[in-house]
Amino acid sequence: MLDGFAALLEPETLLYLVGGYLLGLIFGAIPGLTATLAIALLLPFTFAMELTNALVMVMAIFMAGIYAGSVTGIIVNIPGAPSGAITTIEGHVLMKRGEGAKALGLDAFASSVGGMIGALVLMFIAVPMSRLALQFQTPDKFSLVVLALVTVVAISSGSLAKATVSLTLGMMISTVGIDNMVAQARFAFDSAQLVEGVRLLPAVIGLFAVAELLVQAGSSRRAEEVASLRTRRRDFIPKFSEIWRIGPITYIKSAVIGVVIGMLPGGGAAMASFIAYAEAKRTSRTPEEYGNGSHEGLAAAESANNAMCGGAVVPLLTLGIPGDSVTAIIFGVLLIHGLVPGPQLLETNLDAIAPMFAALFVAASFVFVSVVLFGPYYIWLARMNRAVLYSFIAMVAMVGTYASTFSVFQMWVALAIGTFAAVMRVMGYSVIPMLMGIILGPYFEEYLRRTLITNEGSPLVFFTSPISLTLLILSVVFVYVLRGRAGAIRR
Amino acid sequence: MALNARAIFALLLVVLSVAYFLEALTLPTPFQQGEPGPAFIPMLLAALLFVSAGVTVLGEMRTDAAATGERINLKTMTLVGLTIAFVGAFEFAGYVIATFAYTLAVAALFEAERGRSTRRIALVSLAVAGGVTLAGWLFFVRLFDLYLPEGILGP
Repeated sequence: MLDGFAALLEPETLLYLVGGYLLGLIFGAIPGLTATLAIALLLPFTFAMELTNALVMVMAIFMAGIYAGSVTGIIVNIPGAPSGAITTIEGHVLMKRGEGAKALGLDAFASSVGGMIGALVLMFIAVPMSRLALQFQTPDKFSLVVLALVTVVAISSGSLAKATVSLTLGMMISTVGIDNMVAQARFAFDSAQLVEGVRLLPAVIGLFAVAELLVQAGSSRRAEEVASLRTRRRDFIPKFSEIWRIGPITYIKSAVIGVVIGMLPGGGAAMASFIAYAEAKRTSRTPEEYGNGSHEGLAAAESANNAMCGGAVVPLLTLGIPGDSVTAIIFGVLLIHGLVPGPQLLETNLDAIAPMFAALFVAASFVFVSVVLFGPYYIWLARMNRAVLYSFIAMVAMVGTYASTFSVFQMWVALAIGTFAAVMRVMGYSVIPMLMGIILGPYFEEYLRRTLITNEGSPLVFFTSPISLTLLILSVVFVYVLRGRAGAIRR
Repeated sequence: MALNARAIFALLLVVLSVAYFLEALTLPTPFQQGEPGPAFIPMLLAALLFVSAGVTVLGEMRTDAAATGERINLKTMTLVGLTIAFVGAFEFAGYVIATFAYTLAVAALFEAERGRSTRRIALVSLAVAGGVTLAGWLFFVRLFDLYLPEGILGP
C-alpha cells in the first residue's frame, strides 16, 4: 500500500492528481455540472493515459467533485451537485448571516476528515473483502446483481415504477447487438453498426453530458448575482473551539455512515449526507439549531458524503459491482485498460490499484488546503459565463466520443441517448437507474442464463445457495429500509 | 384522471415495450432447445417495462404533474438540431470547421439569453468558438495524440 503513496510522488502522476482535483473542484462547484460529468468527459482522454495516471485523476475528481457540490450551495443556495443539497440547508443560512467563510471552512474540514476515513477503510477492508468475494459462484453473482439493481431502484428519487422504467430501458439498451452467449444478433435491424451494440462511453456521454446540455438549454437561468464578499484566506480556517463543539464523534459516526452507504449499490453521496444529517440531529444536544445554520448538521452531512467516496469503490474493486454512476464510469476506465473489476482484481493487480487508494486519501487532504487557497475565488466560479461553459461541454462530449471510438455512428448514439435522457429527466425520471441497467444488464443476463443452463432450467439454486439466499433476502430488506428510512425522514 | 404530457410519455413507453416484445418474438423461442436462449431476457424486460410503465401511466393520470424545474423549449430543440448538423458534417467538414461553426452557434444560443446587443453576442461567440476549438485541438490532437478528421482542410 505504501507503494501506492510512493507512486504519487512521480511528477507526472502528481500532476494528474492535482489536475484532476482542480477539474473536480470546478465541475463540482458549478451548478449543473457534477463529478460524474467530469469523469464522463475524462473517459475519452483515459484511452491515451497510463492506467495509474487515469485512476489517480479519476479519484481526485471524485473526491473534489463531491466536496465542491456544497460550495455553490453555501454561497448562492444552489448546490453544484445533489450531494451538496443537505449542506446547503445549513450553509446558506450561515452565508446569509455573514458567516460564509466560516461555513466554507467547516464544510472543507468535515469533507477532509470524512474523505480520509473513507480512504483508510478502503485500504484496510478492500483486500479482505476481495478474498471473501472469491467464494462467490455464478448463482451468488446473479443474486448480487439483483441486489444492486433492486437497491438502485429503491434509492432513486420519485416513484418506484419510474425508477423501474428507467432501469428496464437501460437493460434493454444493453441487449442490442450480438447475444453474449450464442452467435445471434438482437435488435440490430440489419445494421452492421448496431450489431456491435451500444458502447459504454457514448451511453455515459449521452446520459450525462448531452442530456445536461439540453436541459440547461431549456432553462433560461442567468448567472446568479452574487454579493461581493471581502474575505481573507484565514477566515476559511475554522477555530479549534468550533470543531471541538461539533465533536469528534459526529465526524467519525457520520463518516462511518457514509462509508457503509457508499458500499451499498446505489447508495450515493446524497443518500449518505441525508442519513448522517438525520442521525446527527437525532442524537444532537442542540437539535433546534438544525435548519438555522447548525455547524453540527453541516459537518455531519459533509463528513458522510466524502467518506462515501472510499466506501463506493469497495464493491466495485472487490465484487465488480459499481454502486453508483461514478463507480460505473470507473468500471469503464478499468475495462478500457484491460482490467476486469471483481474478486481477482486486487489479488493480481494490487500494484496497479494501490495508487488509486493513496490518491483518494491525498485528495481528501487537498480539500482543506484548497478552501484556504481558493475560497475567495469560489464566488467567481459560480458566476462563469454559460456560453463558454456549455460550448466547451458540447465540444468535449461529441468530439470526445469520436476521438475515443473513431465512429460517427457512436456520436449519433450519444446524441440519441442524450436526447432521450433529457426528455426522461423533464418527465421526472432519474437516469441513474438507466446507466446501471446498461452496465449491469449484460451481467444479469449472463449469470441468470448460465445458472439456468447448468441447473437444467431450475431456479431453485438461487434459494439453496447460502450466499445467494442471503443476498436475495438483503434485496428485500434494502427496499424496505431504504424506502422506509427515506420516507420517514421526508415525513 | 387526465391524460397529461407525463401520462402520454409513459403511454409511449408502454407502446415501446410492445414493439420490443414483438421484435423479441423474431428470436429463437426460449427453452425450445432446453436453455433460455437469446429471447428470454428481452421478453422478461418487455413484460417488466409494460407493467412499470403501465403503473406509471395510472400514477401520472391520478396526480397533478409536479414541475421538475427542467423543461424542453425551442432553444433545446435548436440545440438538438445544431448537434445533428454538427455530427452530420463532422467527417466531411473536418474537426476545425465543424467544431468552430457548432460552438459558435451554441455560444450564441446561450449568450443571447443575457439580452446583449447582436454585435456583442457575435463577438463573444466568435471568441468562445475560437478558444474552445483551439482547446479541443490541443487536448485531443496535441496532448493525447488522438485522430480527428481534417475534412476539406486536409490533403
